[in-house]
Amino acid sequence: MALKEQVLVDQDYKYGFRDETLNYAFKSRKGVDHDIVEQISQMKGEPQWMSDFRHRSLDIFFSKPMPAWADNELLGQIDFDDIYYYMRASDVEGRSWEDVPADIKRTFDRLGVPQAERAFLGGVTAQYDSEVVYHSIRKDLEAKGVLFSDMGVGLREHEDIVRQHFATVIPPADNKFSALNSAVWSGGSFIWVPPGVHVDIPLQAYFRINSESMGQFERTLIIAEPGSFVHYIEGCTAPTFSSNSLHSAVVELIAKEGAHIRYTTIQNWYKNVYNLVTKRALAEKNAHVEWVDGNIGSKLTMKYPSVYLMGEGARGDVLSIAYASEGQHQDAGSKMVHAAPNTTSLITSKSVSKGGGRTTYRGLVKVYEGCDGVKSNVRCDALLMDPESRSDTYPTMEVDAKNVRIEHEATVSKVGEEQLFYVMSRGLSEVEATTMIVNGFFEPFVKELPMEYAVELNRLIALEMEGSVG
Amino acid sequence: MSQLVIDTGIDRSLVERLSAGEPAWLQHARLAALERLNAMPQPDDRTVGWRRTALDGLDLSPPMPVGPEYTLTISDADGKQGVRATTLADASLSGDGTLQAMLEHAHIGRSVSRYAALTESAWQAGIFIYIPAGVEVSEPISIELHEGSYPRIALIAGANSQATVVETHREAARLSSGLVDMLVCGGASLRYAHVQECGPSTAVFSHQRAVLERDARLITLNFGIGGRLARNDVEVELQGRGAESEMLGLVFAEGAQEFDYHTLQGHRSPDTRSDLLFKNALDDRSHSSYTGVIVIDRGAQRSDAYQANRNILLSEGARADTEPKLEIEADDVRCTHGATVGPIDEEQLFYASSRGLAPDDAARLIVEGFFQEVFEKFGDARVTEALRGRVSPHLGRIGAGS
Repeated sequence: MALKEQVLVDQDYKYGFRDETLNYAFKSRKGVDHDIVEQISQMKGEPQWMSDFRHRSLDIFFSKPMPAWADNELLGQIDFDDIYYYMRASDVEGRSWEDVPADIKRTFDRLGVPQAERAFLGGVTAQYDSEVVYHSIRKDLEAKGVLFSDMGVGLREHEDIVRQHFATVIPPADNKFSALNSAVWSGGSFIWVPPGVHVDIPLQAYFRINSESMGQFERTLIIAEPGSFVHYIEGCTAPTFSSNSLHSAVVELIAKEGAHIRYTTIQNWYKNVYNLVTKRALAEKNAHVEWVDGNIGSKLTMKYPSVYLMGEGARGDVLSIAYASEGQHQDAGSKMVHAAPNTTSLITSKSVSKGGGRTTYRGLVKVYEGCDGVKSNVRCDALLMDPESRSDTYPTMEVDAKNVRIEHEATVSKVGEEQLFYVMSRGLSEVEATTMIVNGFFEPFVKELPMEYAVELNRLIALEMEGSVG
Repeated sequence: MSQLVIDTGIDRSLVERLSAGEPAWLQHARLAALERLNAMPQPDDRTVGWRRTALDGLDLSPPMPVGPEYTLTISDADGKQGVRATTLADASLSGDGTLQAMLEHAHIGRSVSRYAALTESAWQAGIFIYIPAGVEVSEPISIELHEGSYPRIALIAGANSQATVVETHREAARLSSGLVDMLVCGGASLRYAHVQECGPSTAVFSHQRAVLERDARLITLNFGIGGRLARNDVEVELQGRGAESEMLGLVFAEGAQEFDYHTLQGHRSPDTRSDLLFKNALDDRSHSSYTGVIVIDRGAQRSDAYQANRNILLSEGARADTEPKLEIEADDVRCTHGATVGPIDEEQLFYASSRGLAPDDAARLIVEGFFQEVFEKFGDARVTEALRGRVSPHLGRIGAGS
């Protein structure tokens, strides 16, 4: 399983850059074992139960095989012994923007987060490598009693809440990568929204990987108490690396009775990143969970945001797009588990494959016995841009209740000749016309994004479409 | 080389005995199948492709070969046209390279079933049907199987021929595992119906593999109302340019019946077309699992593929799983699939009731209507009228429980 060194030369990648960050406060050696896990836990000064949890999870990671159904050609290239499992760029967490170290600020500036936007965005948790280095919570959030911090701080300051909910949605044994995350996690966000509180502005966090062969294992836990609402946005842009990076997050959402959580992700890792993520939500009675999930970057993404609909009247939505070009495999999808009557789910998945890229939709809709009145609709559309690309659809529906309405539909096609002809007859070039059609294809997703993300996404697609025709 | 295998009882010496008098290539094919069989463990609920099949309480170990006993009907007129049927064993001695190529390579598909390998190694006698080039067969060719552990059929439809073949299964022993290989030559048009009315305690396996040459056309219908457990694998390979396949399925399940259907639409050449419609109506505590895949190879441009699985649940205890899959490696294609699971449409029921029908009668009529589309698509009323009559008594018992 030797890691193949690869030279990544890609002049088109506008967002690719790499900051010189040599002053790491702590950097563990490569590879993972019980000593490393112990070091991480001690560095963080964690309670014993968390330390035990990490060690137990590591044993599970070692014992679990790689998933047999996955893209084993790409997965097999991961060398778990050639990855740093923990590092921290700065020991002190910034209390205010001025306290944030200058080199890190520079990285954020180059990420293109404008000052005006920062004010608007409210609480910003900015993750730099494995640790949150800066976060601020706007005063009105504090006044409402909303807790928003990095996961490590959450554990220190609100151990009771964390302990009650941590790993209850995604146990370490769920899969090999959730076990790995459970053993070596650092960073990620902790959010707790009190009953009845509506968080009006989206909470955001920027994640970055910024060291060669650097693994990143965020752990995010969002708890929305009854009747509350929160929208969390996670966006990524990663610098250029010369060897593969592993990113394996675990995200747990708990929407209590009548609560509403929306979780938006724009994943644009550089094309050498393995993005193997476990995301799952619990929705109690009349709760509503939405995953808005965009996958543009990475080498291999495996991500199937799920909603376990545990209470009557709960609702789960997934709206996702995937874009795969040369050397990329977007293996994404969704799971909806209907474990209560009158629950509803809606999955809309759109994918584009280009230049030999591969997109896969993998999904499950499960309805348990006695869950009458369940409605589920799954819609997958795939566009293939050339004869070298590939698209797979693997939906599964398991229905054990009678009075339900379960529907699935999928189509795979290329950009229609008539569509192209029509747009080009209005005076556009083939590239412009294709870009416009692909943007239109993604439109239902893009319109759910905050303005600045939508603008950036449209720009990215335009960039990607260059050279796709002719 | 394999030794005596306790769990199957099907071993090398038995296979060699069964193969006595056969040409060397056929014995070799049987032994190769035995090797594959021995490499595959007895499937359980964790085996890929078997995960949703309820195997509890069923003895699925391979019985010692018996049979087959069957009635084969070819009309005199068609006999005069040169349509012929012999045992597969006899046909294999004729030196026909077509048959040899077909039987030697038929297993090279995506099948994960060990029962196909089992039948390939342990079949006896076999049935070979040959339709000469250019012949239009006037009456449906009928094969009715009464008994047989491992019935094997090979069917060649010569270039530009036209025929309808109906294979009816009425075995009632503990287990029956059948295998059908079809070669539809250039420009030929074949209708094939697989009618399964086995006994209520029979575990019945059917593997159907078809290769379509250039501009060939095949319509298959899998009609299932019998058996305790029925597992069908239907694989259609569109090898020749312009080939067309229509795959139909109809299941009415009641009691604790278990239906597990797997399909493959393999687009290997450009300008190929496939359509699939599998409809299941499930009563009592019955269960259906459908897994189907459309594969479009790189270079199979202008492929047009459709796949639909529709399930009606007629009872609280009935269950349906469906997994329609697409694997597409060409861009100039049109490929769509859909799957639905639900009860009888409330509005239809209301409409029928408002016309004075009792709820049970309304349900029966709606299910009949649901099946009608499948019968019509098959396009040979001589076959489908009889099948309608076979399923109809079952529909009268909807909701009665058992």
